[in-house]
Amino acid sequence: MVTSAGVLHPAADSVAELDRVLRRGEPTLRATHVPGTELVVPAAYLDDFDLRSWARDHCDDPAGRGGLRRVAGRATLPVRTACCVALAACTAARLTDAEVRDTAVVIAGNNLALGHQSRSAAAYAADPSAIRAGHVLDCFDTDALGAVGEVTGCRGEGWPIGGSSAAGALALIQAARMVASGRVLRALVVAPVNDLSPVEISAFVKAGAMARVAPGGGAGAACRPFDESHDGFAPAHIAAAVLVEPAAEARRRGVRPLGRILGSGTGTDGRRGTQPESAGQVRAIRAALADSGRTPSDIDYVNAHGTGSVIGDDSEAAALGTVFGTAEGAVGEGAVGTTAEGPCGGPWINSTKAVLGHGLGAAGLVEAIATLLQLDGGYCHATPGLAKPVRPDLRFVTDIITRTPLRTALSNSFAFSGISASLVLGRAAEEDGT
Amino acid sequence: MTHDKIWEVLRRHVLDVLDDVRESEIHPGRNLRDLGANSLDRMDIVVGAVNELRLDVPTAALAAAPTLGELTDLLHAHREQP
Repeated sequence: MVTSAGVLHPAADSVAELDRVLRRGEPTLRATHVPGTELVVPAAYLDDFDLRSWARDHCDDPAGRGGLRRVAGRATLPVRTACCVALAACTAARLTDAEVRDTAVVIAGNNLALGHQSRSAAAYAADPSAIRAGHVLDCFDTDALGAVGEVTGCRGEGWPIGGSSAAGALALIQAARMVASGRVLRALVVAPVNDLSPVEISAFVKAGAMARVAPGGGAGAACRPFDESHDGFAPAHIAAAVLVEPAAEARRRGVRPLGRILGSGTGTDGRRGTQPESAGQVRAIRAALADSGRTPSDIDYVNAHGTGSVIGDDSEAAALGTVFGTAEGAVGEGAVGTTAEGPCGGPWINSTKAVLGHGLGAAGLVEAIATLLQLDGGYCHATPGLAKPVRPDLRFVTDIITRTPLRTALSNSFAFSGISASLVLGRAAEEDGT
Repeated sequence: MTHDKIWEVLRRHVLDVLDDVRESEIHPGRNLRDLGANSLDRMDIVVGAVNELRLDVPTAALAAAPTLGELTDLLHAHREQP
């Protein structure tokens, strides 16, 4: 069971806010100039994130506020944001001190502070003697693990789980497996903000993977997942955290959970490179379905990886077509229910990245939260910028929110190096799952 | 090199490394741990000040000076004699 969550994004600093942003279904991207270059990219960045104001607005307990400031006040942006969402998720779960102490921590993401690294390297090149001893903490992703542990009090097992754009999903899968196996009683999964430097941004643009804002163009329309004119992804500063534990635990404490992890599937393509493979994505999706004891016709809604990149979108659309398309006999009355509108059956499909941008290591986790919110609220948010879908046989949510009862959903995350990860998620009231 | 000058240099390094600390919080009776400095911060502050002042202070001695005032006294004691 996913008992509670915390979220941070320029347009949403709580789970309730995220729900509102999704329901509004408008892009939250702004034209962002890349320092030292001529590039302008659509992005949703946290400008001057202030730990103290977040603490004032979200942390009722003065000791908690003081602890946050003392532990993470001068840490990198990934670590500061990780501590905030971790604290939010723990507080919302109403854990006792003893329960917190036994909680495992899973940190999602790798190469978190590339922006900070790049600035440090430049400062070092200008003046080697100015290097700070503190750099040895800031330069490693594990700083997030120690900081989250000190801020929340969690001191169970600690698992840093990388995976680039799939890290959030991999971390959640790992946590679910640990809890389901009984190895840990509960796990706090935390995905810090990924802070890219102009070096990575320039390389992504040069690789044709990242969208650009045309001179005089709007940022909101610049990232269009699954649209024929899609042109690349838009980076976003997103942090997310969830507490995973057996359903009985949340019930015992009287907390209303967000929803359930019914199953998961993950795999690799055995190939180096950035190119996705539909076959590998299909395998992961089918593994998740099998793990959850569900068939394609049970899936009402797919929260796609959907970054807006040409190759990525096309590959995922092909995979979804294979799994859910009419040719493979996957469309049943069960999937459509009372919602049979539009030219095709099968699950509704949208991309949260069209609204929030791509959180990289945090994407899989914030999108799992977004999926649970939609399952609970009975809606599929709009996919802004989607006017002409890349495939006519998939039921995309385009510019208008779809309101419909939903029971079971699939959430996809894919990454460079052939990584595929899928989660089957359900509402809190379901009978099985974790 | 006066005691005041050493205090000023030390104070500036504290503010530089602990950039969320207010100037009013820095006075001779405070120690670095209370100001929120971890072990790496303390090293950066003290080494930064010692280097700028071009002093030669044994590390063990630095570890033994808990308050900012005592640290200033220690650095002053190791200044070069004209």
